[in-house]
Amino acid sequence: MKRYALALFLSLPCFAKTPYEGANLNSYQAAAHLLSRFSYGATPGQVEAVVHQGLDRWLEEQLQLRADDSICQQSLRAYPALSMDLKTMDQTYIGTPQIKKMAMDAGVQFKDPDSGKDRQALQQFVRDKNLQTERELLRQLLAQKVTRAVYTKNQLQEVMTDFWFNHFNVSRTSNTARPYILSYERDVIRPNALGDFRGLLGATAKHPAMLLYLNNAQSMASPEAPHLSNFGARQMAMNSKNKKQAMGLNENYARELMELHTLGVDGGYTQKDVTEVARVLTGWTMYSDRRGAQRMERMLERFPDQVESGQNNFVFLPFLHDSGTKMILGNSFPAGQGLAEGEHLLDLLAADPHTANRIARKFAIRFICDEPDQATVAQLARVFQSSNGSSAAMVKAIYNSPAFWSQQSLRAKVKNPLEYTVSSVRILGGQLQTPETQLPIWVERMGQNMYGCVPPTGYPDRSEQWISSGTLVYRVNFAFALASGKVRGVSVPLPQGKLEKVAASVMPGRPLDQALKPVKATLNNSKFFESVRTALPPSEEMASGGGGEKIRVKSKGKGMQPDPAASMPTNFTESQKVAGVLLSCPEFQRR
Amino acid sequence: MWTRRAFLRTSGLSVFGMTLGGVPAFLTRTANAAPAGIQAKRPILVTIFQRGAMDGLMAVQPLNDKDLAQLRPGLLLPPSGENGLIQLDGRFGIHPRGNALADLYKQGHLAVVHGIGSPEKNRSHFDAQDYMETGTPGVKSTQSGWLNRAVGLTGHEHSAYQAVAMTSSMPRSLSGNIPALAVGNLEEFQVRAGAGADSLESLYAQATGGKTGQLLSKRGTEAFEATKVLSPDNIRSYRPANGAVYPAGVLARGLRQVAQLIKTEVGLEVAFVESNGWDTHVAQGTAQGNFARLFGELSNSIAAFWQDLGPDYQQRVTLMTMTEFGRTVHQNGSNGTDHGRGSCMFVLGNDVKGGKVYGNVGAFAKDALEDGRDLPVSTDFRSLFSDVATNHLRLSGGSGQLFPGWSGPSLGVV
Repeated sequence: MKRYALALFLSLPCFAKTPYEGANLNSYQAAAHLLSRFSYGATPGQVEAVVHQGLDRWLEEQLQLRADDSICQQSLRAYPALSMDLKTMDQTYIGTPQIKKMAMDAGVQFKDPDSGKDRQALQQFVRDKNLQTERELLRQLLAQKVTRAVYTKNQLQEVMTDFWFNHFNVSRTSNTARPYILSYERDVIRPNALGDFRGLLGATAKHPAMLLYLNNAQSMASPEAPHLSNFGARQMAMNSKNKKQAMGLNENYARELMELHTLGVDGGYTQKDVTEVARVLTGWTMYSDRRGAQRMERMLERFPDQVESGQNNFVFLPFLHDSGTKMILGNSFPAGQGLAEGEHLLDLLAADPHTANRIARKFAIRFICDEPDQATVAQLARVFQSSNGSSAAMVKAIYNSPAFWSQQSLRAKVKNPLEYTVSSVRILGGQLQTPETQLPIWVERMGQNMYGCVPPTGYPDRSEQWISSGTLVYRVNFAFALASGKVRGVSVPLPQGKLEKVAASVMPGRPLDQALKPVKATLNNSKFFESVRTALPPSEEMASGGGGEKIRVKSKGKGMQPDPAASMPTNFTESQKVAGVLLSCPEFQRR
Repeated sequence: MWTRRAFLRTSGLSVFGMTLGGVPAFLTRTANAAPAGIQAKRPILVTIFQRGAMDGLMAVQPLNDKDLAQLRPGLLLPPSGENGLIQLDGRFGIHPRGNALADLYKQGHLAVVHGIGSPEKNRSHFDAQDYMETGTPGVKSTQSGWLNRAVGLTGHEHSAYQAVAMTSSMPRSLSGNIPALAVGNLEEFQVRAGAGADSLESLYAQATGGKTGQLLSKRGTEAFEATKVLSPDNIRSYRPANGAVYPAGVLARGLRQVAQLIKTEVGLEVAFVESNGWDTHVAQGTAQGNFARLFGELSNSIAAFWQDLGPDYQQRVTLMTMTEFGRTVHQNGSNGTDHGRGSCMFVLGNDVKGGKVYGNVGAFAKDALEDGRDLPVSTDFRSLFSDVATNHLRLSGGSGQLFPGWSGPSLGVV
């Protein structure tokens, strides 16, 4: 599919010189930097391996997804939802309100919520009927992400999947979008993560997760719209028994499409453009197997000729579409173009120079530094435009830019919580016991609610976002919990030997002389280890920020309750101390 | 002005797990001098966000309204009686499980603001919470939360516990340039390194290398300083004062820990606590049921917190509830309510002109309702928020800095 475009860029002549020439780096340091940015961190010996393979070759292999990924694929078999189509997933994992309704239909009485009996009755019903809950789907969603990040050999694809998911953010705090997020990432983001921007834009626009999260699924032409000549729509408006679902535009997606996904807030559009974009996108909605399915069935039956359906439950319903003329950013849209005018709109937005500039800046911030210089951004914007928005071309351009290898870039980014936890596990050569991994809880405690960023902006890609006093404490606790084998579902072999050697293996290619002084002082402070052992594991329940479903990690007996005496060893071994302090130290927070 | 070292010296004397004559150490702390530089008498704003949108009309309901009775017969509370409303004034009564709030109202410390909400007509939780937390209805690009801006406008030098959210991730309200802590449970916010935390502090103090190094150094120092100020023994062994009994639940735990922070005099100025589950689409109940349980928890948690503070701390604390919108006036097909517009909020404090229901609640005839279904928003939430924050926290700068682009009237509750 996207491979053709990709192949074009990869066939460009190889570089005679190293891209980091003039940056005063040896090949080992350069490989370490490369891995710290385009992967979730090096594994033991990987820096040497990349040096040996050649940095160019490693990158090409990553861009072409050529690495043998059988180990990761094997681990992912622990998550059955990953191989289900949307419909099966929808029918298999059931949300709490629906379970409650099923229980009530089956005669279960709910009348005493205060005593907790209602919840017990509900849980009993779930067990009796052997139901799978939406919570289980979420658990798999979170676990598969850390599993991929830790294990996949195609690291760049995973990094780019995270990048684009965050750009086209949807949140599990949205009750309606939640069940579709696994498919959104699997079917929309990952397959396009190294592809072209227009493909990604179109795929996100049509996926239920986005349609529901930003409400375009509920947006329809106003019944009074002069151009709504369609008989069916008027019928629907008049017949609508469901009064809470008023007819009319919902501008939510239209605005974010321009503000966040493409042009940017200073992208030159007006409120009028927002409304016009919303009109263009009326009728872009989804077929629901779950909610309002019967109503949708009736509509589909009544207007079989007019409906166009696509992948992942997307449908275009012409009788909800405002078919009049529109004017957007100076471009006129003639009447009656149906689905095609939305496609045309996305073409326009994807090709706009504002979009190129915005995406270029995001790439530069993600891969170079928090405040990239304007010249680098402008250069990347040109690459974006000339490559039709190819992510692979953008990655290559960054790899070839002096800014990427400059002193301003080296170690300049702070690892976000996912990067921090995963890079810790990877550098120690750790293993996950899927599907029981506790890593997602730790990531959340450090302030990154995976798939749970409430605003459509995604998480800001800035150091300040991740380094607050509260979250640093969790990083230190994680470091010692991991080193002493107390992060459930993860096992790490600890490096042995002298401190200098271990530090060099945990932080390859870093200037460590200065960093090691306080590390040594800490290691020599026996009081420190007497007291640090009581660092607490996070409790079982993970509250999510925006009122979303709570996640529980399956508990097998004890071990998750905050029981400090039981949860930390009375004495750390020497290698636990070394690993704990090294993963805690400020240098390891950087990439 | 204070220095970190001076603070540590002072705090080191009094905070660790020991007790004096059976009184938890942090209680004796207030008898001692406050840590150098922490202004002991600074006012404190405690906020509770009720996520999911509270049905304001069930919390504080008109006593007798025929239209209301017709629109929500299954959700109506009788104007009196054991399972009936507790009368607040000639027109409104509070839900029977809110008896503790009713007492505070009668003492003149609690005010109710009814028909409050966002001018942005929006019934999405996500948008409405976002707009309320950023304080900029209709503007999504705002990066900072209004409480974060409020902390900045105090003009006070930052200290570790100046702004604290008792939530596992930072709420939008407190996100922004001003450092804040987000801690789901203070009992867990520990490296418990005790004297050893100095090691972590120096590990971070010496972080080098550009802006990133500076940031790590600054935040690391703050973090390990903060963990040294309180120890988990203190948190767990805490005995609420004045006979206060907190109910179970995350909200009560959050408020209890806020009370501890206040009494420990660690420089707390703004606190944020969450209450979840108000999205009562199904089986909302009346005097008993889902809403009653939540509201009872809210009411009893607030009352316990207030009692725990006692007269001295009460002088400095104002508490305010927030919720993103209200719910439909009519009941829906599953004995619940759907997303609406206006709701009500509570403000508690000695400087609150309490014992009064503020706001404008009109008739419940269909054509008087917003879109024929909802309690209209007659009070912009910013007129309450700016009133409370500006007057209680004595902020510098006008409401335009706290709420960019807004210059509406202050409600005059505080």
